This record gives sequence, structure tokens and C-alpha cells, in this order.
Amino acid sequence: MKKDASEIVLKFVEIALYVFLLAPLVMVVATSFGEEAVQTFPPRGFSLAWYAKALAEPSFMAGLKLSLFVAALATAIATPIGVAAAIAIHRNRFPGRNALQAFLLGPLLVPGIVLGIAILVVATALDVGSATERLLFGHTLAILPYSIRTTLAALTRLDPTIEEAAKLFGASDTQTLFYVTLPAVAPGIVAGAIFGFILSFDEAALSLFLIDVDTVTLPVAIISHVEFNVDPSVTALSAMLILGTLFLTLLIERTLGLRQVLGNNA
Amino acid sequence: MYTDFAVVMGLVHVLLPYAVLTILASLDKLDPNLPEAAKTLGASGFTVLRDVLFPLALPGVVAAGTIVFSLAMSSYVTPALMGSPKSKVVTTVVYQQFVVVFNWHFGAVLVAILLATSLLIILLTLSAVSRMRTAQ
Repeated sequence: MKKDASEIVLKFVEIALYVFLLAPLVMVVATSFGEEAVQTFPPRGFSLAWYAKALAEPSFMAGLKLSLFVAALATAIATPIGVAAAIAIHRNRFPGRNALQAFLLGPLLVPGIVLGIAILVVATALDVGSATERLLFGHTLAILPYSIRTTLAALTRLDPTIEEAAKLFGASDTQTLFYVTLPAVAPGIVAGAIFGFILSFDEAALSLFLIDVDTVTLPVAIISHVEFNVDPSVTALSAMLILGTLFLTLLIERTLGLRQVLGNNA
Repeated sequence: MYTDFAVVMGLVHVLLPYAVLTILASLDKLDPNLPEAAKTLGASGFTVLRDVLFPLALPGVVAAGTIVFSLAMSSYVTPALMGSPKSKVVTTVVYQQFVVVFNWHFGAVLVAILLATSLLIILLTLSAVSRMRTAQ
């Protein structure tokens, strides 16, 4: 009997947690279909007008373009650097190895807002870089640790005898790297790249200090829209973003598993 | 909405997954035979949780607390959107100093304090966790 009671309590907590986590998302999506000009829940009527308005809003569309551009380029820059660093750290025992690893994972410990201000202050003092370049630099730094971590996690699980076997059969170092090691850790690299892309796309605190009037990323555009408007176009936009992020997250889960990317293995 | 409590609820919502995944990672590393053994020896589900799983997962719990604390302390978006304009957190003040009133010196001092505090907390917890791991 006692066991039943604790199981019921556990089930209740579990359901409460799911409601707590998912209710806001459900409300956002539901609100986006409403007809009224203020966000109401439950929504009254049904219309797709706010989706049309969100897609026609110039600050959203410009922000979307910039965010996609910055996220894609930052991922493309950070991934090769991260993979190379992870392979070097994994393979060699050199002096300062731990220090290098800690240094490369450092941006994880530095809050986005601090990193953003640091880049802003330096760029202003040296008078270099446009807003787009500052954004690219900051986002690349911010997502580099994730690329290194996921690649390192995949390398650690790789059986070292496979590489030795390739060399034994006469493969050169370069051949081993491109035909054996990299394909074997590819899921880790891909997961890190997708996760980095999502992080960069979602980053607001860092971007706040790197943008200028004409160069505004989507999260920052949403924040400034919400400050002055209450219409559901922002919930329509959020619903579309939820769908996109959900798709990418499922992709990570299929490639490496979310636990490996977010888990505490640093 | 627009109260300190709303900010706390918002942060719990945003940061809960970080806590769950961190604690999950440390539970994954446990020997699954341990809770089984406790049950065989007659422990109830709650006793297993309290006396076996929780102590063993404690380093993970502490790590999760640290991660969530430092992320919460340095978050900007949630307090900016959900908090009242009257009650300020350090990140919104920093934003004001840098972007609105252009008092970079004062803003930089606040940022330095924010960074030093979160690094200090991380270092203290890391040493506490490693002491816990050696004690086991």
C-alpha cells in the first residue's frame, strides 16, 4: 500500500513538472491564433493574421536574416577550430594541456553580458569592426566551447585501437584522420555544430552590446518589439521559432544525444 | 507579471533543464546495482532515494546548483521582460549604464563585480565537489 502512495505522489510531481514546462509554450502557440489585437488566453476566434503580420514586420525579417547569417557563419568558423583543438587536446600530452583546455572552455564560464561588454569596450578602444563583425566574433567565441566539448566527448568514446589498426594497414596520419577518426566522431561534430547554431541564433544578452541601429539580431528585435507592443504577432513569430528549434533539437537527439551536449562532463 | 516573483518563476522555467541534465549525468554514472541492492535488503523506494541515490548524486546536485545560480545571476532577458521596471537586477543596470546613459566606468565596475562573484562561486563549488568525490 505504501509503495502505491509514493508512486502516486511521484506521478503527480511528474505531471506538474510537465505542465509547468510546457504550459507557457502551449499558451504562446494558442495565443498566436487569436483574432484580437492584444494577447489573450484562451484565444478568441481563429485567424492567421498575426502570422502574416509577423512575416511582414521589417524588423523581424531583417533580424531573422542577420541572425541566420551570424549563426551559420559563426558555426562554420567555430566548428573546424573546435574540432582541431579537441583532437589536439585528446591526442597529445603536452605541457599546458590542461591550461589550454580550461582556456578554450573559458567562455562557458563567462556570462554573455560580460563577453559582450568586453568585446564592445575593446572594439571601441581600437576603433575596429562593424556591428556584424563584432557579432560574428562574439558568437564564434561563445559557441566554440560546445564544439570542443562534443567533439572531445565523441573522441573519448572512440576505441583507440581503430586508429592504430588503420596505421598498421599502412594508412598515413592524414588518411587516418580523414578516413577513420573524423567519420567516427562525425555525430559529435554535427551535434556540437547544431547546438552552437541554436545558441547563437538564440543569444540576446551578448548581442545587446554588439549591435548598432541598423544591425539588430532577431532576439534583440523581439525584445524591443515586446517593450512597446502587446499584439500577438510576436507570439506568432515565437510559435514558428519553437517549431524550428524543436526540429533542430530532435536532430541533435538523433545524432549524439542531448545528454552528451549539455551534460556535466567538462 | 512584472514582479520579482515572476522573474524567479521565469528563471526556474528557463534553467530547469540545465539542472535536470546535470543531475541526470551524475545519476547515469552510478552503478545500477546499488539501488537494487538497497531494495533487496528491504529499503523502501523513498529510503533508497534518500539514503542511497541522493548522497551519491550530491556532487551532481551541487554542480547543477552552481550552474543554475551563475546562469540566473547573469541572465538579462528574463528579468528585463518579466520584472518590474522599478526593481533592478545587476544585468539590467549594466545595460542601462552602457547603452542608455553611457556611463561606461560605472558599468564596467558592475560587470567586474558580476564576473568576480560568479567565478568565485564556481571555484568554491568545484573545490567542494572534488573534496566530496575524494571522500567517497
